[in-house]
Amino acid sequence: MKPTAKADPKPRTLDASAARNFVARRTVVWVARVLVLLVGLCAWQLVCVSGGVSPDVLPRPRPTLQHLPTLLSKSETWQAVWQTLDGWALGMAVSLPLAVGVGLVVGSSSWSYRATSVLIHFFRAVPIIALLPLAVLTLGATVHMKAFLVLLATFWVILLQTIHGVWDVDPVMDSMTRSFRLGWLARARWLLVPSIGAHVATGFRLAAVLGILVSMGTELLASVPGIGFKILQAQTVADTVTEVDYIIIAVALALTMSVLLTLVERRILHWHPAYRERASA
Amino acid sequence: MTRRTALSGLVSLVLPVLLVVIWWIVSSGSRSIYFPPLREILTVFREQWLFDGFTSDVLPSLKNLLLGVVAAVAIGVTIGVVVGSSDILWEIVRPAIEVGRSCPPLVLIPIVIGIFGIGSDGKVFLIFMGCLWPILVNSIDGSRSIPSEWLDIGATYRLSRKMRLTIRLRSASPQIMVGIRLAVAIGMSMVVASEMFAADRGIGHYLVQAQNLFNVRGVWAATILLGLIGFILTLIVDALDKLLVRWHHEMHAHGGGESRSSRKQLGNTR
Repeated sequence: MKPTAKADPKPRTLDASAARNFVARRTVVWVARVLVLLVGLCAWQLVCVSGGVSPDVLPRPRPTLQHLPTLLSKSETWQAVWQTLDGWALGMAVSLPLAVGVGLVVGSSSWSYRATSVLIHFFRAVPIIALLPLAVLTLGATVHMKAFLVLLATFWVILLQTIHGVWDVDPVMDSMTRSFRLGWLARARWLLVPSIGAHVATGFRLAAVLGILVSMGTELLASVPGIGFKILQAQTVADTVTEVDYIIIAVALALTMSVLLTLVERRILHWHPAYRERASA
Repeated sequence: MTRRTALSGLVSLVLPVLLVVIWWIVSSGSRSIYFPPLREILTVFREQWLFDGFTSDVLPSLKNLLLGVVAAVAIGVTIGVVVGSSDILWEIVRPAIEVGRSCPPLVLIPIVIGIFGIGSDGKVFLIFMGCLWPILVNSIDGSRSIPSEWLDIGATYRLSRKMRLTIRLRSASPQIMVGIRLAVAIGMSMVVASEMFAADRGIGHYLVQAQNLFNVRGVWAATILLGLIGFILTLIVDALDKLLVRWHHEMHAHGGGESRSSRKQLGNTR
């Protein structure tokens, strides 16, 4: 997702025609975006009207969207959002320091990486949902079980990013800090945090979005309170309007999370080469 | 060099083998219901999954996975290259794609199963939905990051549209492989989750049954099997990656590749 110069033509001079072009282009883009949205809604309506899909399983767009504000004004909806975030936050709070700590150790020598790489890649490849029955049996359908699965899913993502971050430390800078005899605090401040921080931030963003997904999936499949469970409940009583509304809320939650974290990342890491490149390219 | 490689291969196996051995020894006298001895788990594993259960419960699921991934590659790459070759098109569809890629595929399970029923059509569709976004996003990204010199060469030599499309695809292929790798992992989760939600067969269905019947050994055995399948799938994708985009890895193996690879690490969203 990197905007190129053409994609983001900020008029740098007060050239009237360039400014006009810019405005025209933005207008076209926004009109087209609204059209895309309308086409999507029409397609939904068409699928319902054509009779291919029974109204018992897929509601029409109008009643669904009309019901959304009612749902959003209920406190139980926000409670469900809170419950989803609760398990997620608990898992992430353990996962982040643990993964960064282990990553620093593993990444620091080529032998420690070799010794653990098969293990890391094995566990990363395990479909996390497959661990759900085991987790339910041993931990019960609780918020702790949800947090545990979030931890298991996100740990490897952050770990691998941290390891790559350690590898990314510039060897010249590293020897410079040594020859200047900087203390470990100064070394951490000026060398390690800037080099590794960018990778950890990216790992955190990827992991956070994955964690939300795992959190909701756990709720849906193991009946743990949260948005996922709300979807399941609505489906059980065949209230498809509410079901689709909760799906919309789930998408909005994941989208908000991802957009927010991207913004924070860009704000914190504006100096990083990967981001500078994007801003100036 | 070869001795070094062999040695490092050996080192990488020490820890996994050690962990399995420790698990075996520690659990051998276990009386806990939840943590049965590894020996008993492996007995169940052999009886259940080698090989009757494998052909009846695992192969159909893997077939669904393959269908879903292939459909996602076909559609994702096509749309991705088209969108990625036009700036204005990309700007227009970007919000829609951001929404689509943020949609957690797991929450779609109830409604899709409701529409398609519990047969394999709905599962293929769910796998497709889960796999489409990483492939689409990476195809767009790959297609947009084609070096401008390559485009210039195409224009200067007045290559046909088809040739220029080939160049673009070639240039995007390493990034597309990144998307496929992510997609296979997501697809595998979708296979298991959709079968756990509603199915009459499949390993996810078996897992839920075993959980409800309190068949703890069965759950452990099936979980191990799924872990192995997941791992083997990533190995297959790795091999495919080596086969298809070896030129890319060779190009970036020596010097100058670092910046691009580190940018990739940061750039890979999802």
